[in-house]
Amino acid sequence: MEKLAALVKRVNPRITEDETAIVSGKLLDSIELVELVSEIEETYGIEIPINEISPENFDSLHAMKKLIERM
Amino acid sequence: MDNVVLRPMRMEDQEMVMKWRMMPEISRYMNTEPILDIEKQRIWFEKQQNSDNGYYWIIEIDGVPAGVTSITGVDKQNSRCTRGTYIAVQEKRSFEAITAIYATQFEFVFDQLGLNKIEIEVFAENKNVVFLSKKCGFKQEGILREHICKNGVFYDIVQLGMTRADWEEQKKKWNYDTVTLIVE
Repeated sequence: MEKLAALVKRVNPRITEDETAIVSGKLLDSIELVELVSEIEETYGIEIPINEISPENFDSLHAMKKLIERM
Repeated sequence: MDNVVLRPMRMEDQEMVMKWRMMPEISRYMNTEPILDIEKQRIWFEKQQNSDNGYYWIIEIDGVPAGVTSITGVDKQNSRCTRGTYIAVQEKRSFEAITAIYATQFEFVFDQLGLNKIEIEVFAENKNVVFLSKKCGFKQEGILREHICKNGVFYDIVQLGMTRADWEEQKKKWNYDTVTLIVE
């Protein structure tokens, strides 16, 4: 989780670990979300299908962790 | 998703478009960084209106003009075109909106214009747009090395393309949204 938190903070330092509306609350704009997805793919060696790039999977660190585990 | 409408660009939009076009974050990954005045901008727009090989839309998000999207270089002989999009109003940039705009344009090009291919050229440094384009179904076709020179600096350009067949494949794995597209 620390590695993931560091990735998110690199993209937008204002996002805290307990945030639960990262995408739905527009804390990341489209460019930042794309950058985050790209960084996650590279860091974890996974490919995230476009259908999975959604608020459901990116609104919180917990949701992102679950997604990474599924991929 | 926010309410997104792509409406035809009009002459009265040109002052706004000119300002957007000269924003550093917008012009950074464009081939040129022009210093425009309203006269030059209006002349550019008149030229676009008089040509029959392109479409320019203003992106309106929740009723607010937020950016520009276009289909240009329509080549009926070779059945292809190119496209471009930018959302200048930062707080209106959402992944849902931008991907829905892309998908809407793909449907327009392949279903309404009946073309076979969309080609785009993206600054290699613009890694996020290269990445997003591939996620939406574009395939990288090449790299033009040191292809654009701006302020004495040379930039590589990534060439990407999407054929009709690529779009048919992409549709099978993408539950995409579309937006309202107005064509005059």
